[in-house]
Amino acid sequence: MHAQSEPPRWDLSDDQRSIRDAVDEGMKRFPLDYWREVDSKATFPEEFFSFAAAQGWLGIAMPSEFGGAGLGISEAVMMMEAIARGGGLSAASAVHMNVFGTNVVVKNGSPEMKKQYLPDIIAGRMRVAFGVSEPDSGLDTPSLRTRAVRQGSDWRVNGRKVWISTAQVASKILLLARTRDPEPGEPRDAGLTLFFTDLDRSKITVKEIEKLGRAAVDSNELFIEDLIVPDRDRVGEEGRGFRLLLDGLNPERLLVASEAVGIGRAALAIAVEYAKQRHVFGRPIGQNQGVQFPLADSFARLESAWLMILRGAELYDRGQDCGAEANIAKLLGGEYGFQAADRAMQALGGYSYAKEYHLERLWREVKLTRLAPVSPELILCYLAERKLGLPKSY
Amino acid sequence: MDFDLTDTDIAWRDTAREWVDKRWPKSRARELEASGVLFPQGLWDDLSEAGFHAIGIPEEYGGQGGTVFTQAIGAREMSRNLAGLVAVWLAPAVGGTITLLAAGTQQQKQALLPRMARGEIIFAIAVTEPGGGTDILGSLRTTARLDGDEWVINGQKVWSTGAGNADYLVVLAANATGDGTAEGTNLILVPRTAPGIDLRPISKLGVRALASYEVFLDNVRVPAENIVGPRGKGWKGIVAGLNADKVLLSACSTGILDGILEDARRYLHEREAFGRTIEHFQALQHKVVDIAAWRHASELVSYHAAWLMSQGRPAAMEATMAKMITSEYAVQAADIGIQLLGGMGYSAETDMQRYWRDARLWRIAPITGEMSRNFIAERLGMPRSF
Repeated sequence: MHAQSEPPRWDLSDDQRSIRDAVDEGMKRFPLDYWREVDSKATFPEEFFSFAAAQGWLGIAMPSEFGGAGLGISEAVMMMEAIARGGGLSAASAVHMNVFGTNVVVKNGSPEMKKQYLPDIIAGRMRVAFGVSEPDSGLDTPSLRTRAVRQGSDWRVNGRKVWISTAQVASKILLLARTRDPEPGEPRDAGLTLFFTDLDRSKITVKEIEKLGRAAVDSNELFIEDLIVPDRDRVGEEGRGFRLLLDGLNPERLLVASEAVGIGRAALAIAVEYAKQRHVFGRPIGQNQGVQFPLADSFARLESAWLMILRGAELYDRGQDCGAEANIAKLLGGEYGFQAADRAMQALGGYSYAKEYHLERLWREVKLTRLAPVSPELILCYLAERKLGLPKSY
Repeated sequence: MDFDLTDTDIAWRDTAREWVDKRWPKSRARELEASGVLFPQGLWDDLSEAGFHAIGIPEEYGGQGGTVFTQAIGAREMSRNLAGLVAVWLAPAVGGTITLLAAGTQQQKQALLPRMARGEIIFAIAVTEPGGGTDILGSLRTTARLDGDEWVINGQKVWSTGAGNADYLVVLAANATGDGTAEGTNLILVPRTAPGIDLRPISKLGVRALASYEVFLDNVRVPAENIVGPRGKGWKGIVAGLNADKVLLSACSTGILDGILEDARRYLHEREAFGRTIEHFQALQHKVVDIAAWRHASELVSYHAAWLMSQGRPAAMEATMAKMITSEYAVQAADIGIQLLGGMGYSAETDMQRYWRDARLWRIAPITGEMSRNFIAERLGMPRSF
């Protein structure tokens, strides 16, 4: 399973370094005050999105024949870490879907589909919503209830989706629906089919969910009623849609992990600066072990999560199994990223509670990386079963 | 040891529980927050109508009597639904009532407490300054100078909760002398509408329907008799409130733990995944048990500290420990509560996220967990570390 030939590469490549530096430079145009404003107004960060598109960030891991940079996940995690470090999850989520969400179309879409849409996605002219989760099937995807029924050369789709990001601003949707029940002996996910189709607002009612954090990037409930999807919008084989999505799960986890680490580092930087400047009882508060040790400990933990991310990304780019690394990276990234933000708040004391100092937003946002796309509990299930050989517990 | 509540306390607990469920269910607290108000006037008025502002005020001043223990019982019950919004009840009770009872003149108590008991006047504490939260005295820059029969106050305060709707700000200021130096501190009741006062609400993480303010005082003049306690000894009135505040907040954290436990159990009982309700999963059961154990420990430490205070016994260390432990349990439990609800925990339509944001304040205010530990370490006889 593991690498037989190349040993792990510990140094960053020139590509990785230059991407991080370029993104750091670019993010200076969008300081924390910008992100606080889009958060409080709950408006999509259009200026940033356009800038990211113009810089070629959206196509970093997309094929060059459609206008992408043709790089891998090893480079994409560098970029997403730097974006999240600059603007938090508001920034990362604004571009996240364009960066990797349509990879399943790259791998399995028809040549016409790819030629027609990928260049628009890479150039930021098109936004896509990812329509998989349903109210009664968060992590248990095969139990989803949205149905697509054959009607000549079309499909008629009915159902509900929930937690669909950017559906307020997207014109396309990747939609997973059941087209038939599994045959006896088949796995439960058999019969799920994936479509890449227009987000037709006359048939899909999009209701925004008010939520704890990341107000600038909308999350929604979708009510789909008699949506007609032409069969040419089908991605891959009928009934095998869930399998196609599985291939994208590991890189998705690595990207979310890199975003969590970026947010943790952003929070840590604010706390460290404050701990140096703030004088109480006649000295900087950072001189107290009670203040500096938690920050130093978070620095160490974030570094360890980051190494796991780089390792997983490298394995994925080499075409090797990275299931354990991607899951561990997402587990550690989310937990340590959150812990860093939480500890940073303690360092700032009362000011951390005020929106003006940004930490409360980072704290609310990084929490989401512990919930999505998969919970820590299910990662532990995965590791217990796959790596330790323990029996399935659920 | 007798751990039972008295019949009177049980009756009061049940009254508070029924009142908050009937008048202020969780959904109403969420709606109030979403509405963007800076002050929950309706809640204040309901508390007035119910007579709750009179609790903790002796009968001779028009109150219903009762101790900090009585207040703690109510604070816990109300926090289960209201979470941090219960501060609209507690902050004026601590900053106004307890302070006046500890340091006010007979005349002040007779004039103000009956009106406070009826909910006719609101107090807001204006003690903390931008230069230092915990180091109140070391960072005190606001000054009060006596000019004839008036105090002239200059300076800046921060985190004054409810100041925008208060009738009186309870301001702590350095006692300026003629030669420009300061001798001690003065605690002064400053009418909120006095000329020279400027208020700016602070946009914040939690307790959003009750704003905290920055207060700017520019040559604010108030009558000399508005001082609470002797000149130069303003600290006396503050100290009385500080420990009560910690005790009451530990009761609030316990109430939030009640709410978390209740919501977590309901969700796990109803939510199905992988073919059964998720309350069947061992890892989730264990998390709920942790929360139940923290709730139990919180109940004991908060009631113990409240009982000590109500007996007039020293309780500084117990109150500090209770505030520290319970706030950390409440935030951790709410954090787990969000995990238990998954995506729904992130939705503003459920309460875990509100508990989490609100309880987070009490790990910071009125004193951080870190400074609490420093204080307790010294009490245990270890050398001062800061």
